[in-house]
Parts: sequence; C-alpha cells; structure tokens
Amino acid sequence: MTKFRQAFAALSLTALLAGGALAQTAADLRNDQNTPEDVLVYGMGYAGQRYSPLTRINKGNVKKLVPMWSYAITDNRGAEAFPVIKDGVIYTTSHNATMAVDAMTGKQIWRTNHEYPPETLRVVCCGIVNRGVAIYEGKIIRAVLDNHIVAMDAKTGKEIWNTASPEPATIANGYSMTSAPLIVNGVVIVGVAGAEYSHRGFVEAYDVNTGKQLWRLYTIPAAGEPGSETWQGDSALTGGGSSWVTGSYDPDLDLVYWGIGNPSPWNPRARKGDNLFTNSIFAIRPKTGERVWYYQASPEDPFDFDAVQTPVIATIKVDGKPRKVVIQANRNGFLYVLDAKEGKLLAANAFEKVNWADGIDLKTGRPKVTEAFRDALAGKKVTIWPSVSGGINWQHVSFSPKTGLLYMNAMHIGMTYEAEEPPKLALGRPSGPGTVKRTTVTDDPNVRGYLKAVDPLTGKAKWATPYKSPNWSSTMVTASNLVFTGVMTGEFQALDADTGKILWSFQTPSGIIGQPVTWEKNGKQYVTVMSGIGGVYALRAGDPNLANVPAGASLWTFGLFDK
Amino acid sequence: MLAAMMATLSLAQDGKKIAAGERIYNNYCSTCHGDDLVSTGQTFDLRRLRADERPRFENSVINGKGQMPPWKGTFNNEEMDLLWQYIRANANNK
Repeated sequence: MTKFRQAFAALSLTALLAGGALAQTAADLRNDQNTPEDVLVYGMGYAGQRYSPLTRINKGNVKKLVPMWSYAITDNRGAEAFPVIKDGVIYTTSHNATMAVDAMTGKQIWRTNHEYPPETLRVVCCGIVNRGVAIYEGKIIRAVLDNHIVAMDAKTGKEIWNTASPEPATIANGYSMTSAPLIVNGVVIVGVAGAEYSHRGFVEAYDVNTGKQLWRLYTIPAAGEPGSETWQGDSALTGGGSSWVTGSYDPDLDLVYWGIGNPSPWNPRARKGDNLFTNSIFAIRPKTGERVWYYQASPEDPFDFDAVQTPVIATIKVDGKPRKVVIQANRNGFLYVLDAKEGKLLAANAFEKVNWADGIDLKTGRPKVTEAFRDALAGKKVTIWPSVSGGINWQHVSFSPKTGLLYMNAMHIGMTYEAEEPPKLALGRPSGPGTVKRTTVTDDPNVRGYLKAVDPLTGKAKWATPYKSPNWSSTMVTASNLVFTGVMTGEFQALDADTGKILWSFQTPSGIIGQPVTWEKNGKQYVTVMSGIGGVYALRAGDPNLANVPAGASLWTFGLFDK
Repeated sequence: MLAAMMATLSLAQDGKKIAAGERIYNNYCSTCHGDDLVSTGQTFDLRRLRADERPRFENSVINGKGQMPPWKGTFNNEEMDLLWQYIRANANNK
C-alpha cells in the first residue's frame, strides 16, 4: 500500500467513524436491512420486507429460545409498536409514553410521558394504540393521538420540538395519529386516522430539525381538482381517506409508497362515484409531497376496505425477468403487484375468500364486481367475504427474497351487510360502523385466521396454518427460514417458513398484536416483540376465544439458552 | 281491542327507540364496548347494568371513567335516554 493510499484509507476510516458517531444518518437508514445489529426503519428496512439475513437462530436450535428479560410498559392499551434498536438501546411506545430500554438488560434508560386531552379518545375508532418511533441523527420522533408530532433527544428523552399538525387536523374535526413516522433524507412523513369521523385525509411532512411543516398532500381532491368529479355533491368534504399505516421508500426511484384508507361514511349511498383517491396506493416524491402515481384498489367501497397495508418493495421475476415491484396484501382480499416506477398493475389475485369481486381486470385495474357488491350499493342485505376487518387488516406481512414468498396473517371472517338510508355528515361526526348494519359470519368459528405463505404473483398459499382467532401481530422472516408471529391469546411463535409447522411457542402475559424484530449483538441473535392485547378486533369483535386474555403491555426479548 | 292496539303501538314505539339507541351506540360506543354490546373482556360489559343503575351510567358517560373518555356535551337528554333503552333491552338482568 502506498503512503497516499494509506492516508486515503485512514481518511475514509475517519469519515466512517464520524458517520457512526453522528448515527442514524440518511445513509444508515438506507442500509438498515444489511446491518442486523440495528433496527432503524419501520419494517426492518425501507423496503418494508421485515426480512433479516440473520441465521444464528434456526430450525435446529429455535426450541432453545428463552426470554432474556421483559419490561413493563405500565399500560393496559394495545401494544402495536415497532421496536427501533440502535447502539444497544430499544426505543418503543405506548399511546401516551415513549421509552428507551437497555437491549441487553431490559432496564429503563428513560421514559417520556405524552399528555393529550381525554376527549381525544372520542375520535379514536379502532384501538388506543401507537405503532412506534422513527430515529434520525440522535432524535427520536413520534406522533401522539392528538395530532402532535414530537422530537426527543435519543439519549435523554427530552423534548426537542413539538408541533401540532395545522388546521383542520384537530380532534374536534375527527383527526388522530397512531402510526410511526417514516424519515427520508431529513423529511419526517406522517399519516392520519379519522375516516370514521368524517374528516378529509392527508399525508404530510415535517423538517426533522425544526419540526416545521414542509408539505401536506390531501388524499381527497378539493372542489374542481382532478378526481373531485368522482364524488357526489359535496360528499368529498367529509370523504375520509386516512393514511394510518406507515409507508415504505425506494432510494433508487426516490419514491415513498403510502397506502390510503377508506371513504367516509362507510355507507356508500351518501357518496356515489369512484371516490378518488380513497383505498389507493400512492407513490410520493418525499421532498415535495408530489403524487407521482396512484392505483385505486377499491372504487366506491361500501366495506371499509382500506388500502393501508405498507406496500412491500421487492425485485421479483415477472414473465421471467427481474422487476422492481411494490406488493400490497389489501384488506379487500386481493394481493396486488405493481411496477414500482410507473404503478402499472402486473398481478392481482385473491389470497382469501372473496365474493364481492370475481377478479381484477389487469388492463383497467378495476375490480370485476359481483351481484353481491351491486346489491350492497343498492341497500340490500347481502353476505360478503371478507368482513369489514378485511382479508388482512393492518398486521404487516413479511417477504423473504430467499423463498420468494410473503408470510401473512390472513383473516377468515365474513359478514352480513346492509346499508340503510345514508346519514347526514359534518366534520368530526361519526361516519363509520354506525352507518351500516353488520353481523359476523364464519365458516368455522374456531378458524378465523391463517398464517399463510403466499406467492405474490398468484395469491396461492404454499401452506396455511390455521388459528382460532386471527393473528393481529405482524410477521417477520429470517434467512434461516423461520417466520415469527404473535397470537392474540399471548403465544409468541416461530414457524417453519417451508412447511408452516409451529416449531416454538412461548406464552406471554397478554395477547400479542405487536411487530417482531430481530437483531444481533456480540455474535448473538435476539428477537424482540411487545405483548399487550387491544386494537379494534380484540375490542369489538366479541370473539369468545379472547374472553380470558388479560390486558397489560410489556416488551420482551428472547435469545438462545446457551448455558 | 283498543287496549291491545295501544299496547302494540307502544311496543312499536319502544322498538323504534331501541333501534335509534342502537345507532347511537354503534357510532360512539361500540368501538370499545363491542359490536352488539358484546364485550370481549377488556372493557365493561354494558349488559351487566341493572335497572336502578341509570345515574351511574349517565355519570360515566358524561364524565368518563377509567380509560373511558368524557362525553359531556355530546348527547342531549333524549339521546342519552335512547342509549339507555337500547342497553336495557339487551341487559342480562331485565
């Protein structure tokens, strides 16, 4: 090595160290999936694949997985947060607190409580939850239910900035925030809930350093804007279109993919037309908030079929050639594959029992709706699969580039449905479940869900493991072909990604509706997840299988017993 | 004959009230207390309310209780009554 090269190498090393000291730079976030010692981005990497290259825990030794520690969240609401892990510290949330916990010992480093007015809960339809933080250059950033976005010092939990989302995003107007932010090159992107309270949805962004709002992209067009012609009368003013689940990001195309939710009210007779841009996938330019393309999965939706599942970015073979795609397991029961750059629909197949459409026309992208769907629009009583909870709800799928399969906690529940006379709406007034009549329908009351391994291009399952109640937990898959998931009766489980066989199960104190992640430190692999029942299904479905599941949130970390 | 007609009319009016109460319940309460008043177990099962517990019920609705938000100003007296009628019509102990 020449002296020049040595000097250059030393300089590069310094630069690397400096980068490391700054921590969680834009480059670190881009590289998250390849650095398994940290979990920096919601979805275990910008692509949202929830795939880990780690193999130390494998089919041969997974039976030796034991809890290392557990930590009390001091809360009885649902624990849905995605744990972020950096430099041996786990950052997680409840609806009203953010916590930093030592990843090796489970001891609390700091806890910051977030107050919100008690009336806030009047407009939180579907579980008093928070889905986690984002991390960037030493800051921990989250949203609070009352539409505040808060930045804290990662070391101390001390508040750095606290911004109230500008008008009309107030609880009085039906808005609330439950999802984790996504940070792209210093732009903090957040979504809102509220389509059950006659709001007008948006996705918006803030400056990571100052908390200043950078842009807001409404999901429902204003009068005269393109798409406004797809709304009857002035129904767009209370048209819904929430954005309550975090999106994904492709650095090469510089596009953020974000799912948009249901129209308001649920009752479709008040808003005849396609109701753009509800139930759509957006591709957004993160710097400007420009919508580059969109795809609407469920036009004129009577059934609360949000398209909010995080679009998973992957390169898969389509017609024999590798193609970068976004994949979405939609609540409406279809699995969509779209070209990541242009948004062209490449495949759309049912992954669950569906009777509202016979399929999707790949040319027009529109569902081939059935008689049952048309009857529902006309106000007749019909039986529909899937139910308003969806073929899948928010619980995230994982994708293994190794097997090429998606691992999803699908729901197997139908409903009777009837839309009577539509209600009159006003901003902030309830527009969800009270606007239609429903009852639950099951094929077998003891099989309401499956964990399935699904081919993204066909929707067909290689295997499907049945569960009494649907799993409200996300899945995670590793390169050792293990799939991790939680069960609403409390079990944390590892399944064989090749067969669906349950290889390991551990009973946590409450039901699991959280998001498993895996990481390594000092040559050992760990798995972390939250336990704590809640969320809309557990609260309202009246599922008798959940009657004896106690509330109470906790954070768990598991490792191999090696004594 | 007249008495029978009056009774039928009264029943029909009760049915309308219960249905109106159900709509209010579905809009405001069902997200936590469950579809069709069936609580899965994490929240109070409203079907347990007894006939003499209306003051307790109204107090909880207006001021909130435990994890329940206060609903003061949301319901007028008539709406509160409709809600109560719906709950009582489905009570465990009528």
